[in-house]
Amino acid sequence: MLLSTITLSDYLVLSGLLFSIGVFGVLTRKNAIAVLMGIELMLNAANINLVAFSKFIDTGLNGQIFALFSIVIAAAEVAVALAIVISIYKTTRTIDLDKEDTLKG
Amino acid sequence: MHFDLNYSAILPQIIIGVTLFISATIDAFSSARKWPVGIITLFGIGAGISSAVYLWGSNIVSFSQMVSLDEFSLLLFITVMIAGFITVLVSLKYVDDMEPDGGHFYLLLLSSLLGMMFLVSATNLIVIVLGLELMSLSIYPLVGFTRDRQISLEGAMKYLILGAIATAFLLYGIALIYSVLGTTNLYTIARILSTAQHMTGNLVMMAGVAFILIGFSFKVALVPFHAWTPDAYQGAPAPITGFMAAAVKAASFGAIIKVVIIVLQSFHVPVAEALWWLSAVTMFTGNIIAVMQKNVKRMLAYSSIAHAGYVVVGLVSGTAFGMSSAVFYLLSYTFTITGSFAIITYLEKNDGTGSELSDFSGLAKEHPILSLIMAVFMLSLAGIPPTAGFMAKLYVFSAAIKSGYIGLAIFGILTSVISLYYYLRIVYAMYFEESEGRTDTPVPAGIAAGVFIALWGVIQLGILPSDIMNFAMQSIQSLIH
Repeated sequence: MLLSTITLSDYLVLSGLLFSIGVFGVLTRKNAIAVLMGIELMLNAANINLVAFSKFIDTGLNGQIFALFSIVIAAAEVAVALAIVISIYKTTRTIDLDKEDTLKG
Repeated sequence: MHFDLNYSAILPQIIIGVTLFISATIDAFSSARKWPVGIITLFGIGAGISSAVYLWGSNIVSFSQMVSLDEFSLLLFITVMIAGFITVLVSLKYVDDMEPDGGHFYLLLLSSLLGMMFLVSATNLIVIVLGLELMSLSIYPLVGFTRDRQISLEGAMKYLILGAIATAFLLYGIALIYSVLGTTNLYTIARILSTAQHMTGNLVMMAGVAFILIGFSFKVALVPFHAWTPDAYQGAPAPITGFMAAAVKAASFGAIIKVVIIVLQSFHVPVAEALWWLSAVTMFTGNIIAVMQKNVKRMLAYSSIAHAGYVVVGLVSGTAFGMSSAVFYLLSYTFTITGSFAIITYLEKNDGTGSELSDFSGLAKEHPILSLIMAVFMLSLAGIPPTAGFMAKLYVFSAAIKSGYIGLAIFGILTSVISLYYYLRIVYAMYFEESEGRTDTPVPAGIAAGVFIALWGVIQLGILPSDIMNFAMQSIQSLIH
């Protein structure tokens, strides 16, 4: 079977990479939507970890159930975030985070 | 596997949840003025506080060890519900003035209370994350509640992005810890850690603990994870700023205390060292930047960062007394800051201005009682006797000295001397500067009631602190046993 050649460390490398790409995206992107995509990558990196550990280490299903909950959390977070982005767009006609700099000090 | 569904373990949560449904129904069928929804919310929170007082002394772990009802969670329930109660009282007129159809204000506030209560009563990392997210996802829209103010939306957006990053760090850290220990149950984790001695050398475990600490540090705004705080606090409607400073901070610290006590006992040394640095940097930075602020909401935002540092001093000492003093600090800060923001709510104008330092000029001539109470709150924040803030700082620093962290205690006292400058700056403006002509509106009854409850708390905790401190000690003992 092909799948049997994939080991736990492969999953860890993948999730570590995804998390780093997410952090990089959050730090460098100016567009609010792109920043949200970066955050999504970070959350899903954690999900991959949880599911992989659940398969390889835990005898129960704790990790997979946790991943289900965290998918729901991510969806709710995006819904709230997009609502706020739309409100910002209505008042300022831009979603560039660098132009959102009224508050200083 | 048997399921233990003891519903009395979540009785206060059930009360708040039922209130949420009733308020939502009334909100749907009521006219443009939404104060009746607020009144129902007040009764619901009042019932929640009564149930928490009634349940005092019980110790129930239920729902397959997902939540526990002990004195620790009950004391923090009471703390966050008092903050919610005062906030709703203060907002009754404010909400109707700001948004013509703003009933969702109370619904979001109730659901964030529900999240906080699950957060502090959780005994499983899954429930901690869920509670934290229910709390945060309800707070983000509240920060952006005043949709026509650009700063409000901007604050909400910044808070949301950094909050989501914090969640991602927390989840990743939990995944790493889960990978080492194979469980998310706090009690099981504590049992494994107490028998295993080699854990401090385990890199994955250390990374997991570090990620969880970073995630929580974002939520309670410890330097250098505080960047969102001033913007979110300044942009948010004034009552919500008070609620965030009091309840969100108290609930997040509750989770931190729980994780530190139950889980990280065998990790005590490196965690205490990390917390030592975090608290020192936080106290210093928060107080120094607050000195430079002209806007009172922003000033109190930096002051709340500094206060988070003082709470961490209690955690650093690591003893039961230190943890209890941190809990006491949270309660005293809750009364003080919700009261201060009640007064700022009164001064805030419909367009969001009115919280500059100059807006406080000459307030004492027009509102002598309100100014006097504001002065008491400021002295309490600065830590002057006979207020709650003084006793809280006294307990926290004496706990640090007893545990041998004398340097940190002295440093904390020095930074609170710096803080005296900007708190007294507000008092000076109220009493010794000339007013620039203020449109004189009467103080709404809700704000007056909220201010007096907060004042009662500040004086009570300042003059007779030992009873409350005993409750705090009991609450920590209920976690340790």
